Amino acid sequence: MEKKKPKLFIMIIYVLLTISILYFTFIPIVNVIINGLFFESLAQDYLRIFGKILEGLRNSFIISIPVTIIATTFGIIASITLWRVKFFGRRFIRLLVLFPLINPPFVGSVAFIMLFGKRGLITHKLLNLSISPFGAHGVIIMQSLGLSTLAYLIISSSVKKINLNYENASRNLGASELKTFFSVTLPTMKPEITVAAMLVFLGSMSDFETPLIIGGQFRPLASELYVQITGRFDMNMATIMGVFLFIPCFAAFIIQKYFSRKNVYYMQWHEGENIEYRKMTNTARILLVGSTSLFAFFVAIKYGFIVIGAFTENWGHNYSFTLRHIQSIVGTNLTPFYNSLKLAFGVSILSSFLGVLLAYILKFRKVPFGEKVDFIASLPAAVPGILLGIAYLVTFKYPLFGIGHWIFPGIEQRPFILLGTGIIVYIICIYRYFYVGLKSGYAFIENMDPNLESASNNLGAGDDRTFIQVIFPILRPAFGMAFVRNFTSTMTTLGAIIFLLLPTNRVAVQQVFQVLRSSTIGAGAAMGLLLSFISLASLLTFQLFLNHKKIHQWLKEAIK
Amino acid sequence: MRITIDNLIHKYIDFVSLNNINLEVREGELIALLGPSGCGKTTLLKAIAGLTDVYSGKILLGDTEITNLAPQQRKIALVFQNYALFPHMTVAENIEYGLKVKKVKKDAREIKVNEVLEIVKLEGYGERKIHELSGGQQQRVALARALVIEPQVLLFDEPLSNLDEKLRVTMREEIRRIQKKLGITSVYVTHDQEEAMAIADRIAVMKDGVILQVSPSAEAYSHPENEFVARFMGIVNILPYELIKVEEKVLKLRVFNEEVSVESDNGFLDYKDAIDIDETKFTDQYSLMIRPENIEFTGDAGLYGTIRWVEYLGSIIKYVISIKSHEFIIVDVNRGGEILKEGDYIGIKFNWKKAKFLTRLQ
Repeated sequence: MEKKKPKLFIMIIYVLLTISILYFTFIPIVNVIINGLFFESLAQDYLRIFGKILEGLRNSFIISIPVTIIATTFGIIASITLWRVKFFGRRFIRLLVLFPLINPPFVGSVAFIMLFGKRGLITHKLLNLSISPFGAHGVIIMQSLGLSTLAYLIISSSVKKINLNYENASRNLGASELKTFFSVTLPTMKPEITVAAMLVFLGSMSDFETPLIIGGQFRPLASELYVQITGRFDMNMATIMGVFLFIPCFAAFIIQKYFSRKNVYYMQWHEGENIEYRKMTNTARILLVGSTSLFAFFVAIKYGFIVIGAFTENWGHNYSFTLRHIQSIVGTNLTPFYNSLKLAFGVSILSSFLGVLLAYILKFRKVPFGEKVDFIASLPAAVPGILLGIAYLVTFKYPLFGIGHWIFPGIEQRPFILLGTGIIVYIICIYRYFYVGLKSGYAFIENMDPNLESASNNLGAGDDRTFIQVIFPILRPAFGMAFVRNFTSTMTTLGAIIFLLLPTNRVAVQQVFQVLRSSTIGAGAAMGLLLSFISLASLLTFQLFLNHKKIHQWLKEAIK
Repeated sequence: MRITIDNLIHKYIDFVSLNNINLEVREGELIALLGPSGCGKTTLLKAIAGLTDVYSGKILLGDTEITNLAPQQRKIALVFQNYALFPHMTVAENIEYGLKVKKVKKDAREIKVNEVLEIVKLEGYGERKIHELSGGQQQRVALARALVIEPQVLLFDEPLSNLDEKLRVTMREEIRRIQKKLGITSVYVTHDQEEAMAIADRIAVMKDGVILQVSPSAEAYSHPENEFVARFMGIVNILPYELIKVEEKVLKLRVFNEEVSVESDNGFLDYKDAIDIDETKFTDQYSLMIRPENIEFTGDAGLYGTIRWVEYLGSIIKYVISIKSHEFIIVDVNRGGEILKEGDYIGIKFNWKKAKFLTRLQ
């Protein structure tokens, strides 16, 4: 596609976006790395903590490698099964496996504690054990369950656009179904599979909450980092740890980027084609449907027990039904839930819109440093949330929006300090999820006729009109997709914002986390449930809003 | 190897996409399935390749029934419309894929790959990536990939539709040359009648899941059985007529106030059957067709027409003429003489020997 020269107005928007991305993404990240690597008491600090870092890293890998393998494999199996195999209850399972998205990943730990905890249903009641089962394996199980959904979501997009002709060509050349799958189907899904694997790996590496709840003494680096700040108030050590946590994450990010550049397949979109397998051996069908159903079953169990936990008096001791937990949340303080909603709405609207807008500018206009801006805007994908939080902490505690101490080292008044304001929480979330809108925009632009804009210009419409009447309506689904993802992410995120929140703008996830850490099952489950419910209700409202015309039409016809 | 298709029916849920297809493709022959989009030609091809389930009927390869055989077990290679070259493999890897499946040793594979690359004139392209090739080159790779497994039957699904006009002509000559040289029984799907006539021994014209006519390429043009085939194979003029008299070998008609006789051996119609039909029924059932090259301009004639439109096409000139508000087309070979203009009033002579009766299609 030939890119046009940008008009002044577009150029100004681009420059502003670029500056803000540099400012809120690049500077904090570079700053925290510099802080971590070149500390004044460097040698001493490193010696003190090197062992701990290595142990933490080792623990991180012990969890993240199996989780990546399990979740990605499940993602592949579920994508194939739910979109290419016909079986009873498929639609229901498709819906069920998406549930983990509306929940902070660690909330599932409630179910784990209820089943396997010290007074858990299985360990204590059935097996009569009173040992603590907390450790790495629980974390692996819970993370795999949570992140499989993410893997499924990404990989299923590649399944849906699969080109059946490749498979047919392979069959036509004599290859068996198995050979066809491994040498044609799977390789053409590779780009999405690697993205999924990377995001799962990053998700596992940066999850500090789950290990703190059910990991017992087992602490990966992200959790250790959290403890350093909240327990020991040792910022230096946390920063150094953050840098070491960043290294493998960044490596995964770069490897994936390099890989995806090498594997650009010029695939055509084949929507509407029936992609179900025509013939399938019973063994294959049983294996696929069986394992997917098992996965769905675990998800159902997880949610089932969250619900049960929310309505049980005192798990492990008194199993009677109660509304006490729900009442106590609703009756006392709903502000954190309100704050969460406000944050999620604000962030997802702004961040999705800006992301899609940048995607449009980068793909349609000849602008300088396009690739670099894209890279920096995507960088937060590689940075564990908790590290980005620390980065903001060490950067924006200084005046003049953080750069004051470089320009005016002696300045004593404290104008424009972002830290400690409510707005910094919004900013970090917007820039952290900027890449979601960006990628979503790219995906839609790639499927767009490159001549649409020229056609509109040719018919006499100016650039502004073209954008509003042609480009934006086409990119609206991209915005919608990014909005949903960003909304659920912001509702459930904790790492990035936990150190930036004030007592006045506490969010719900924070409450849930604190309650769960103190192992108060009933209250934790009730809060988790409420949070999921609010997320779900908001998303439904959003869908109603987006599709109101369709729904109106449907209602009209239903009444007739 | 001969292919026999026997009463084949194919359905997409409730939609009958192939309705009772009977067709025999003779050993070494290239048959073209010709028809508009949605007529079922690609579905028929897929059924032969085993890539879609048939509802009923039989497909035989030689004397062996293959109707329900998995696609892997048929020795039938298909050249796909968009080539379906594996994007993650090189040219050589694409071509040797079928050989690897057959567990052919590496040395033997290499020799064969080079052989077919030579046949399709792509020597030295083995290590290229697919997206580095032009459309024509990709087409050749697709052909090579199909040829290398030495199939008993070759199927082509509109293989040239993505190429430009010039390349299409070259490639179809090449496909024909290779097919003849190797003597492979082939079925070739296309919607382009010129391509079909150029490449095929016989043409099967399809419409709405039915084969309307199977005949040698030239015959499909000169002896169409119905209006649809006639129109699909080229320009036709359907003339209004009155039936005067039916005789054993001759039909007497009135066209534009002129009395004409059309002989029975000019069409499919057996006049013996027609003798019993009354006149209105006959005109309802059969239309009178004449191709544009069978009408000429003449100085003295009983019929005169006005030129409404002129298309200068280089070697030929196409005229649209009207006689009594009825328009038809004349094609004149351009011999460098005078070109008529719109509005010219000119004498016209029909070559009634070449006129045909066609079954009207509702």
